[in-house]
Amino acid sequence: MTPEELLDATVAKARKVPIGGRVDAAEVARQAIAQARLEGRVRRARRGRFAAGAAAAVAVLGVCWGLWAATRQPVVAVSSAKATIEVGVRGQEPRDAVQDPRMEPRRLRLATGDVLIGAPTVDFDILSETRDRVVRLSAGEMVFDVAHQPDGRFVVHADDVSVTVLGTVFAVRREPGAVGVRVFEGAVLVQGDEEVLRLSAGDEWASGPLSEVEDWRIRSEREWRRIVEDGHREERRARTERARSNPTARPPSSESPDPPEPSGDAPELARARAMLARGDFEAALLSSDAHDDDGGWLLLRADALRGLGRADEAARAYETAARSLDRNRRVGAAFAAAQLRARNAPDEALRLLEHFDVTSRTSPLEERARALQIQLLYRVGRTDEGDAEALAYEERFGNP
Amino acid sequence: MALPSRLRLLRGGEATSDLESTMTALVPKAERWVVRELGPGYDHEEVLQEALSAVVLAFDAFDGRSAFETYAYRIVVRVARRFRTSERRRTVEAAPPLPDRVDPESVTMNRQALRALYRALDRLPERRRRAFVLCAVEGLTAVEAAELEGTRAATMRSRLRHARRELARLLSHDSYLRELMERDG
Repeated sequence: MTPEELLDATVAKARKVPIGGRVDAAEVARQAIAQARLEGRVRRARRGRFAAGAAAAVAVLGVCWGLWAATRQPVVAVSSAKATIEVGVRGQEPRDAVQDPRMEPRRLRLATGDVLIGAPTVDFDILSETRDRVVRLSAGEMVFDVAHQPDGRFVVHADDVSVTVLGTVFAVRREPGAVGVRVFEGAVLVQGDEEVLRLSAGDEWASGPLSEVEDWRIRSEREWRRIVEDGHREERRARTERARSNPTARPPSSESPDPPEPSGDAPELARARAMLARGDFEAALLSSDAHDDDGGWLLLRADALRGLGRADEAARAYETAARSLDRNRRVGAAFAAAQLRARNAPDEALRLLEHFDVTSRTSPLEERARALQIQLLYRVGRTDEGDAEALAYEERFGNP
Repeated sequence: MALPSRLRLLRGGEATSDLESTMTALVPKAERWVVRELGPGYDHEEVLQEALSAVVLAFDAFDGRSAFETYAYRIVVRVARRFRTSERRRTVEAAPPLPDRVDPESVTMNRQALRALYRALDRLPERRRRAFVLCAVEGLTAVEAAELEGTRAATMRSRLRHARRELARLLSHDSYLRELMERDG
């Protein structure tokens, strides 16, 4: 017998030994499920204990950091487009300039189109007006409207804090012992010695207790409204267009186009969005009451209703919003409405997906929308269509 | 219309809705996989229980990229392999009672062949071992085995060829087995 034959004979014999069939399948399955559930509970409990321990450790570290941070002066830096503005210099105490908020603020428009607004008593110097502009603010408060320019920077230093602007409208207030930053549009990075905070539209941050915060808020917001309302942005855009059409006359530090212009109630909408971001859904909803004819506001209203768990109303609001939004936001709103309708009204959800073209190839939510559509088709008993859609889905997105 | 298993998931969780019936249907196959993977000398029921429990725990993570059976097979084999390589292995071989109207001598011979085969199998590299168990012992085609193992059929055939060569060499040194087989004719 050759080794190969021996192997085949051995395998043939071995295969004759009966396998299995000695267990009660249903009973074994039930026991396995019970055991798995028990193990699952044990694992979850272990994870919970671990998470609690980690949270406690983070809390202790946070407290320690807070105590440490409270003992030192922070550093703010604002940087943006093309300029650098220093608000005070490290180690230099701000002057006791008298600030009278009732006095009309003065405006300074730089050659690059950026606008600086401050009270007449504000004490500042423009150190550079070239590509990276530098302004030193020694005392007082200013509002900056800085266009986004990819090849320039805009940095504010105040004591130990530095703020980097990312193309925005924001306000900085400096007083002895504290620096405050408010962002109206865009975003800024607030940087301390070891950490960086990102502030977006509607956010406010202060390195310490500020006096007359409410007054400052009102004043800076008023200036922001003026920025939005007056024509300097149009001029800036026109200048950019001229520079584009005549490249030889282009200034050394050319501007990039402005972001889209906000509508008249954009500041209010941004503030309401900030409320949403903070989880203050009731307040956001209240603020949307007076704006039922604008897509942005309707979308915000829907988001707030959804945050409050009022799914039916939110679905209706999303659908209404979808009718007055641009293409991408319309698809997003319709998809959100369909998701909310999927559980209790699958037919309605299907109608929304189809009506608003959410599943089309040009839709940014195509894959998710088609998966939802297939689930809904099965749920409403349109199995053949579901099968066909499922195969099409698999063909397009399957086999990752 | 037969749908890919991934798509069945899209039917709103139909595939995962009836856990108990799915698991009950899986038990006979899982038992077979466990016994074939381990060979004789293990508490197969204990391994089966643990393997099925692992399948249940992994049920929610099943994303439908393969057939559920393939997914379950991999879990069961992983659990069985852990048993095989751990200290819990080879307790007491509890021989099942002989069925009626069966020649006790031939049953014994079959079991001896099985033990000799698995002794030799245990000396093979893991992948070749599994290729041989699936194709030669379990009787799957190279394509079916490759699908379970998540590899190509050609790879599976290559592993099987190497496994056969090594097993033939190993078994040829077992003079008792050779005598047994030659006597049996």
